[in-house]
Amino acid sequence: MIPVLIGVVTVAFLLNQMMPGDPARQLVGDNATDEVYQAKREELGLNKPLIVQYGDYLIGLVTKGDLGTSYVTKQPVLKEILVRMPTTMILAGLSMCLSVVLGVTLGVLAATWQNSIVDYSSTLLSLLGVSMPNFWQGLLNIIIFAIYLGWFPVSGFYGPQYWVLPVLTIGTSSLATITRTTRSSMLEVIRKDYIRTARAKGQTEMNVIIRHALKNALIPIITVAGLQFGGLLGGAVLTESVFAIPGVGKFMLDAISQRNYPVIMGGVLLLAAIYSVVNLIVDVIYSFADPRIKSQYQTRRSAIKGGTV
Amino acid sequence: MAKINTIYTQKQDMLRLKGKNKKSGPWRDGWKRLSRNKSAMISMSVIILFFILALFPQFIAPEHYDNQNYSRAFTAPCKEYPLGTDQFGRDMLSRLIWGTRMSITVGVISVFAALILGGVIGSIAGFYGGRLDNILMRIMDIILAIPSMLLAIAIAAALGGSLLNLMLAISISSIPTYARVVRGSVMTVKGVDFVEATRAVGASNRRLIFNHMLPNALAPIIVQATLGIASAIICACGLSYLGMGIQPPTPEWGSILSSARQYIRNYPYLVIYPGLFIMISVGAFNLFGDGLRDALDPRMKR
Repeated sequence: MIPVLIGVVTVAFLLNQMMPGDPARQLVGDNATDEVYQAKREELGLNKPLIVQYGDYLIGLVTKGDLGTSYVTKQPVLKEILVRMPTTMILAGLSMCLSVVLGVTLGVLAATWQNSIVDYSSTLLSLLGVSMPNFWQGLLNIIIFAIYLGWFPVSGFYGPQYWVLPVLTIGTSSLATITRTTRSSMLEVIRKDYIRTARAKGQTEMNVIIRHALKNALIPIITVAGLQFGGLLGGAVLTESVFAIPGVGKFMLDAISQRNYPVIMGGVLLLAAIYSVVNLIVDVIYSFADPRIKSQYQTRRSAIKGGTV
Repeated sequence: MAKINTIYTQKQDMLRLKGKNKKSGPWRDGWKRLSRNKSAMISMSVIILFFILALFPQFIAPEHYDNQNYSRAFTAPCKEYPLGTDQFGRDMLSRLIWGTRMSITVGVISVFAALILGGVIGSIAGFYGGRLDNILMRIMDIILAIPSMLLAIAIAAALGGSLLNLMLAISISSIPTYARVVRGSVMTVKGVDFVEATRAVGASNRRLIFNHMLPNALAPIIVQATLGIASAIICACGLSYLGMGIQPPTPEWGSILSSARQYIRNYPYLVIYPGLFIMISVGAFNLFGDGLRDALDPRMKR
């Protein structure tokens, strides 16, 4: 994970270099004298060779969490992003919960009654969910639930009722993928011998499906859910702009129209870091979901302790 | 007895002749399976329809996309303007048909570029293995660690909004996916006997990869590319919606949506139709990709 993070930082640094415009000029403003401008360049280290700048950037990032200075507010980017981060995380987290709970339920139902009406409608639903662009679905939700039905407010972010539509919007696309994965994973497991054994010994159908089948079908579902979190973060950026939610995404998009490049890069970097952490957590969850994986880790560790490897 | 024997051989000969006339092979068999799949055939016709719209909008669209007429602004869908008109009185149907060209172009070309670059990286990694494989795939992992939509946004922001940069942003962010798929399928083909045989005859590595291994590893790559066009279209529309892709007045589904957004309260049809176009095209590519997967790879079940 650390090498990946360093790589991400490198990508962000290179993109920063490619950005048009001169950060020093942006910070001091157009009316500043040449001396002030040169002093700022020196202060930012822009006159040093690229490789030294990269080193400074890495060191600054690791020791001080320095992501640069916003061109607009002249505040550290990290501070500005961290203020907005909880909103985005709540949004992404709630959508994740929605899509996992609903997706797994739908997928299990579809697999249990394969080729039934439930199955077909869940397939259709997931096709629609995958094919609908997030932002358009947000706009549709606004038209239907906010303008025609008037159940929820159109935009803003002040209380729970404001969260419903954005969470619904972000959650749907990953809901579709999770439903599909659950269905195919369950179908694979449901034909196994131990399911027949469980039925034969007289377990209730509910028990067979949840305790015996779902538990063994969990690994692909967890994998996909972890990968979907990246899509959720990307979707959150677009959805925040649709619903005018003051989160990291909206902040980044405003920064794009203001050509406030450090903010864009800082946002991408932080969200990518969160995504990698989530995938690390997913790896840990594996060992809880599947004892086989856990025992793999343990044997390797005890083998190392024993000095055989 | 003799008579029965001749009849028998005649029948055999006929069967053999029949077999000769009807060529069979993995691709032909795949096509047969595909043509039996109803949803794949429907989605294929929809895709062909979109390609025709993209190629000949000047003959199909009722008007030019920038034909403004303020006296008819915000006409609701009616007989004359089936999808209504926008704030400048431009015919929505015409704009959407012209917009097909941009969206399909971006989708197809960016996937093609990513496929070629990712394909080269993936086949080198899969073929040579070892340290080179390790290095290349770790670099791909790094790109994969950034959610693709965010990476595309960052690249598009760094390069500035234009058609070329939009395609670049989308293809760079999807290179790792193709590199992985190609690497995987090259590695499965690598151990097969005919590869050994070709090597024994003395074929060069380049010949081995491009003439013998890639054609046999093509099926999963084609499937991935078809599904990739779907997500490329969504990504392109998203970037244009955010104002980082194709700039107005050139019509593109995403940018049409974004300019209609402020009229959502009073003229919702302006928002609904562009999205429907996106959804239908993306859905068609998704369905067709699924159909291809079922047809080309019989082992994979849905």
